[in-house]
Amino acid sequence: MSLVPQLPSLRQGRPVFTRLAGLAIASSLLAPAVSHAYLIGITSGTKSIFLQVGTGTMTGGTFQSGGTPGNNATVNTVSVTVPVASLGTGPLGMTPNVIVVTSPWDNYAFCPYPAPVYVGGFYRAPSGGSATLSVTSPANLTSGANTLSFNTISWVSAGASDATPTIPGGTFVAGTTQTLLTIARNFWFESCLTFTYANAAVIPAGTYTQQVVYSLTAP
Amino acid sequence: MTASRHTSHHRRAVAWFMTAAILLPGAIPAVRAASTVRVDDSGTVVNQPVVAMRWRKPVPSRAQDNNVDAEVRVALRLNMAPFLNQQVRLFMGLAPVNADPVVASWRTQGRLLPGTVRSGGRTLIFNGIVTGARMEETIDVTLTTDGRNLAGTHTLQFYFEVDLP
Repeated sequence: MSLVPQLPSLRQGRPVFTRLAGLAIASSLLAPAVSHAYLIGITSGTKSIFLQVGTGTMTGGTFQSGGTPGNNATVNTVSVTVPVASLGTGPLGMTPNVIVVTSPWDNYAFCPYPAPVYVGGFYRAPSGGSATLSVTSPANLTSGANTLSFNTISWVSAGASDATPTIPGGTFVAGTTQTLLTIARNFWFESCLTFTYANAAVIPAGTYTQQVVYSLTAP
Repeated sequence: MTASRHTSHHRRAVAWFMTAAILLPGAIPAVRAASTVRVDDSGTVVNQPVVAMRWRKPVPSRAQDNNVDAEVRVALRLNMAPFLNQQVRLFMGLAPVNADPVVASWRTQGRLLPGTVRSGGRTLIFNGIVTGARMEETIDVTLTTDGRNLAGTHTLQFYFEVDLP
């Protein structure tokens, strides 16, 4: 539109072209309002998050075959009995009460004997950052009035055919929340954790118990 | 050279420049229109204006299939009156998207050709003589893209154009 006032001066230079230019402008202004495209809006895939620690619930097969995970409120136990003769004599392996050997993803025997604790999950998201796997431990295990610091328990991580463990090995930092792993979007992760009691001191007899909580959080 | 001639010559040069500047935008469609023409598809109806893409694999896999897809039915109504009784090659195109490439594959009822088009491209959907002023067909379109970078809503713009011989 702003070019129209310039046309008289152009007419002097090239009258024929000027008429063509005028026609081109006119035709664009008078073009009928017809549609030359149909539109489809698409929205992103939904977010989802999943974490299994120890026992899980899967119906309809594995994840790979289209199975559906369910909520499972089971709290598994890892324990060790220290014989009197072994008190304070060094690390002792702990054993879970439920053995989960296979991966819920494809039933692969990922956590072989002596059956560590299976930890696996994913964060499915179309955008944004990554998810964080963390564990929160209380300060102490307790047996009545007696206490045993949680930092006496550590773990090593492995998995069948894993060249390097996904979740690194470590030791509970008593009374804190520790970040174990940053999980990129749209990746399946899994590890098998084998726990060890340090058994570095002689402590009063008793059954020392306490619970840790694993969390997978996403933005 | 006098000042007035200089001014006149200068005016003419400006006139040339401005003529070219004005003609270029008009000339390109005019040349293109001789071989490729957009088709009026204003009668086309999409059964869902906005579709939610679904993860093909709800759980991330080791095989890393992160595609999302969706299906949508489109009732095409193309105004082919300008091409009546002409031999034409009709293409369905998908405009480029400001995201990862989107692939659209469609099945037809037989009047048009099934095919696949990637955003930024076009695919032949009819090749023959136009026998009616209106071309109608229902197609089922499957849309696929990488779901890892598809945030929010995107609009896909499909269009039709005819290549005249």
